[in-house]
Amino acid sequence: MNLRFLATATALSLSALTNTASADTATIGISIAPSTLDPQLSLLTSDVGIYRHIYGSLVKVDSNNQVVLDLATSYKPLDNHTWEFKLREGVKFHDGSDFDAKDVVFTLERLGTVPGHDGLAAQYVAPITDIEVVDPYTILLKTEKVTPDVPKRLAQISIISNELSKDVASADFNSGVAAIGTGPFTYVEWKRGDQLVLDRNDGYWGDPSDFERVVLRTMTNPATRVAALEAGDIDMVDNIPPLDAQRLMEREDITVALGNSGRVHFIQFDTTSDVPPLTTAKDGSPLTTNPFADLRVRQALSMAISRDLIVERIMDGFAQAVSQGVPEGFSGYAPDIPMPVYDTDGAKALLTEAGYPEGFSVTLGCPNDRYVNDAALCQAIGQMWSRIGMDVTVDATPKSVYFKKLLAGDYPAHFLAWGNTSGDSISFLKSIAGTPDKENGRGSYNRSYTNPDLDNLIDKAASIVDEAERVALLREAMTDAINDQVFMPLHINNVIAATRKGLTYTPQVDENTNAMNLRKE
Amino acid sequence: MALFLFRRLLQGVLMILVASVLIFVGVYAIGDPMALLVPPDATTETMEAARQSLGLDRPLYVQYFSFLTNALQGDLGISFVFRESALTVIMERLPATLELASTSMFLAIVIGIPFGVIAGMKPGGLADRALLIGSVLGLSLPTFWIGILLILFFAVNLGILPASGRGDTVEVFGVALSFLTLDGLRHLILPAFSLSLLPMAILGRLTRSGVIEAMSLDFARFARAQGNTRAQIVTRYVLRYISMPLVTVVGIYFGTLIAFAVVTESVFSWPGMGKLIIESINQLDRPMVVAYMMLSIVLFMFINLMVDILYSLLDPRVRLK
Repeated sequence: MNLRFLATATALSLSALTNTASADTATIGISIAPSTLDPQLSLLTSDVGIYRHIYGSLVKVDSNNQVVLDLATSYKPLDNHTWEFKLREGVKFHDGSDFDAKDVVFTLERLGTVPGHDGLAAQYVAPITDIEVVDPYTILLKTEKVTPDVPKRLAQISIISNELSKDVASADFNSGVAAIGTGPFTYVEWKRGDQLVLDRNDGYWGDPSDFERVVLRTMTNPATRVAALEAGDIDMVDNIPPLDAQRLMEREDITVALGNSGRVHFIQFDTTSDVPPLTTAKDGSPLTTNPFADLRVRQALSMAISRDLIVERIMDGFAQAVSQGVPEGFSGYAPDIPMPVYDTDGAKALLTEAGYPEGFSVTLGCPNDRYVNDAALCQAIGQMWSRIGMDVTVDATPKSVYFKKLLAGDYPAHFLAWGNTSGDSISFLKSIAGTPDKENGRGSYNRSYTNPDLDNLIDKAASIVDEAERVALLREAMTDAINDQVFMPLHINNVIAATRKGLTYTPQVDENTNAMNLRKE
Repeated sequence: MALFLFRRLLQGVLMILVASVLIFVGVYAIGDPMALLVPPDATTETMEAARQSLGLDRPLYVQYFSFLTNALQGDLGISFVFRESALTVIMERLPATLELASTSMFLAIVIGIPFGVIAGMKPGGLADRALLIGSVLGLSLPTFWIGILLILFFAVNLGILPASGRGDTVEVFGVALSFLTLDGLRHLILPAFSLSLLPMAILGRLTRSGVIEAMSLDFARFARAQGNTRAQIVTRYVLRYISMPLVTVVGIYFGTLIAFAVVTESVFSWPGMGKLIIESINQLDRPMVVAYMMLSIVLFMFINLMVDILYSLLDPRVRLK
């Protein structure tokens, strides 16, 4: 009798005693902890991903972040200021009450009145100034400003039932009393920071889940998540580090699911300061000009980077190089923009032309706990820049410190990634390429690039309702932004999840985990 | 005794006050939580609105004094992340941590002390050498590494114990406990064992050296001359003699296990306070960090008080003044 036999025997007898999980329960190890179940309290992308299990919305986004119908059966702009939404009939909330226009009105009215809300939900629907109920299944949404992305905004808004009292508190949602939606799952139990238990909603109007019960268990430590899957404790884990993914792919009893993320990684430069901070000549003497203001320098720095090498070595192959601010398939993606070319000689020539034949000294700001392999990526970029003669210091700091410094303009060049949760390029163009401007909501992460022509294009795109015209403008704006190297696109990651054999999972481009995408084979 | 308690209380209040200022300023100095709390596509207006709703738009000293006024009324503030009372959120997690820490301490005491006694009674013997080597490992190997090894061996390779989580719990007086169910015990055993190694090694060594020292003292020789067996001497006299440092160490480490079981908790996904505090620090959730530190201080003070009272019970010469 060998040790292995003994162990198996013990395992069998122990699991016979205690095995409570049935085949119809799917336990998913997720990397995030939902902060609340009140869908109107927080609109953090990760929280919205959790809400989608319990609540429905008028329209929702599919796994590629494109708008599809949910509680609405059709929508169209009647004119520049009016949107008509037809609502789905026969849909019931988890408590058995009917869904109709009153619930939409109640939802939109409660938004922005929840104590302690982050303001984001209210921001999403702020352009909607009036709701007109035509009949129980038809509503008209009026906007004062021309707002082409009304459907996209509404995709973020979970519909709650008007049976709830007006002063329903967030704590009632967290305890489950008020966590009543039209979504594919019903609330069973939530232990904050531990697990959320959901049952299949058998009255769901759409395609039901394959599982009677789904347990979303928070496991923030990646090694723990992967070990729990390997041990067979759980059926699926999300957010797997590239290094583990390779190993898991070799296992017979585990299936690795790969998808693309919509999060684009890039580098921004300080182009507007007279002399950017932490930038000097190579001998340490101060510069008299801003090298980043010269397009040739920005082009040279982009040409010096081998994106293939980054994908292959730093990301273990679980990433793709990108040419612009949004990945392919998002509206506004400009197919004509070529992939950046890796050419060190060309880069050196451009630097010489710009008057820096020897290069110069610069600090690259970088977080070290925000994005996958962020510090390693910056180190690699620093080394590639030094090949064309630059002298690069990489300053990698925790995110809690990093963003404060970044927004204060403490870096001449910095690393950032943009989630593109809206499924199009408008939020990227507005926030990264647009000149800071409160009125038009531009430039929240851009302190140091201004181009009035580009701003005009962006503002125009933001106010055209016609989809084809809008896309054409978005493409033009993205092309202009890349031609002027407003930012330096690097790559997108793969979204990596893994399931036990016999299950399939379709990853979402917004990096959220949705139990509806988990299916039996 | 009353005076002693009163003085302790006063010290405690002062300590909490000083700590609250330090933590408040410290977390404020690290960075701006806004950038982490609000998704990046929020407009500047939204950022301002959220800042206002969390009260972060006021100067630091105003924020501190409003915190202090609320704290005096038992309100330690609303968590930035969870938008619920920080104390409530912490209290939800406290039972899991207390359970883990108590089980670990229990393991450390029932394994470490007897082992130390046996080793100390025969210095240089097999048990003694095993203890010395074992305790070096227990003291020097990092807990997270031991934890991951335990998971790999028992959960992944053998598959006999679960890798993470807390398992089934039973509500006792409204508190969820997992050591009362078989499933809960199976979840508890690996994290508790890996967390117990350090105090176990320390208690073992301390007991061993205490026993060796005491056995050569006069009272032990007289007891031997009276005809007591070695086992009788140890249980009747020596253990009592060495109990003071043991109680101290148990007290200190119990506090440490509760407040700083962070690493073990995150390796085993144990839903306790340690995991919470690390996430809160990363998110710059100041009310959570402040409330947590206050609670830790109170906890430490309470444990120290218990240790002092135990002293006076164990050793009649000690009077609480």
